[in-house]
Amino acid sequence: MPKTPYNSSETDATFKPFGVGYVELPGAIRIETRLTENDPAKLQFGAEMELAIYTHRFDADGTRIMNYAFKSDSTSMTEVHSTRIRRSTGWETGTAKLD
Amino acid sequence: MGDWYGETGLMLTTQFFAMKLQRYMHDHGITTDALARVAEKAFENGALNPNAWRRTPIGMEEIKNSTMVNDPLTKYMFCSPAEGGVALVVCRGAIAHRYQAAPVFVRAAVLRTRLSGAFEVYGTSVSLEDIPNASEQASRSAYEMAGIGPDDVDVAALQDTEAGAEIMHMAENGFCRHGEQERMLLDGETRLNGRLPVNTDGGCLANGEPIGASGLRQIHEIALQLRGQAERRQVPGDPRIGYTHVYGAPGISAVTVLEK
Repeated sequence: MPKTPYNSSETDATFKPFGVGYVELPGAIRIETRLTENDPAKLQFGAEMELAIYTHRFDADGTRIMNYAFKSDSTSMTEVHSTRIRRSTGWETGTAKLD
Repeated sequence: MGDWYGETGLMLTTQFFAMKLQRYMHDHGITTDALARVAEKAFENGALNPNAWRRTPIGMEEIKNSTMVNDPLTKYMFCSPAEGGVALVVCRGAIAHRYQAAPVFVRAAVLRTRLSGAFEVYGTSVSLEDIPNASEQASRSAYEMAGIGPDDVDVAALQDTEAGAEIMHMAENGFCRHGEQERMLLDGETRLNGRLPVNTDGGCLANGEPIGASGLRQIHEIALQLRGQAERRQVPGDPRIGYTHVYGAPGISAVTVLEK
C-alpha cells in the first residue's frame, strides 16, 4: 500500500492496486487520474474513457469522501457511478482518450 | 497542490516514472529486456564499487521476475531511498593546481525547473502541446555553456532512480535518438568498456537514493573516472570529458559538464 499521504481507509490486507493514467480531454488538456481498471493488459493507449465518481474513503465521523476516476467501457465496478462529461464544459464529447 | 492529490494516491514518484515509461516504450519500441539490461549493468558496476549499497550482481531473469511495483517496473528495476553523503572541495579554476595535482574543471552547471504544461512528476495535468521537460532544457543549456556536444562526452552519469529513467534520459540528454537505446543496450555501448559508459558506479540503482546527495555522488564518480582513480571500474581510453544529470520532484533537473 502507498505510504502517507495516501489516505484511503484501506489496510495492507484490504488494499487493491489501482490504475493511474493521463486522460486526454480532446482539444483541451490531459489530466492525471486514477483509473477504475487495474489490469495493465486491459488498458490501451487511445482507448475511450469515461468519467466515474467513486467512494474513496469514509472519514472518522462517517462522512463519505468521493473522488474522480476514469473507466473504460469494459470496466464494471459496483461502487462506480459514472457520469458523462457535459457538453457545456466546452469539451466536444462525453468521452476522453487514455493518453 | 491540495491534500487530495496525495490522499487519493497520485503523489507517488514511482507511478510517474512508470507512466512516462509506458508511453515511451509504446512510442519508441523499448522492451522489458532493455529495462532489465540497465538494472543488470547497474548491479555489475555496483559490485565493483566499495561504496555501493547493492554490490551483488543480479541476472536479467531475476530482475524481470522480481515483485511488480509499478508496471512495467519491478523491484530490482527501482532504486531505494537510502542515506549517504558526499563532500566536494571547490575553488576557482585558476588556483586549482595549488590544491590538487589532477583538478577537474566545471565547464557547465545548469539547473532548470518545469515549464507550465510540460510532462513532469507531480503534474496534475499536461498540455496537449509538446513542451520540453526540465532535463531536456538543462541538457541543452549545459552543452551551450560548455561549448561541446554529446559526441564529445566520454563518460556519463544519468538519473536512474529506475531502469527506464536511464533509458529515457539517454535520449533527453542528447546521447541518442529516441528508440536507439534498445540496440545500444544490446550491444553493451553503455557498459564500462562501451562507447559511452553510463553510471559507472552503479548509479542510483546500486547506490540507493539519498535524494540531495545523488547529484554530488555522480560528480564524485565522474571526477574519479577523469582522474583515472576508479580502480576496478575505471573506464578505458583516458576519459577527458564527463557529464552528470539529475532529475527530481517537482520537475527540476541539473546537469554538469566536467573536464580534466
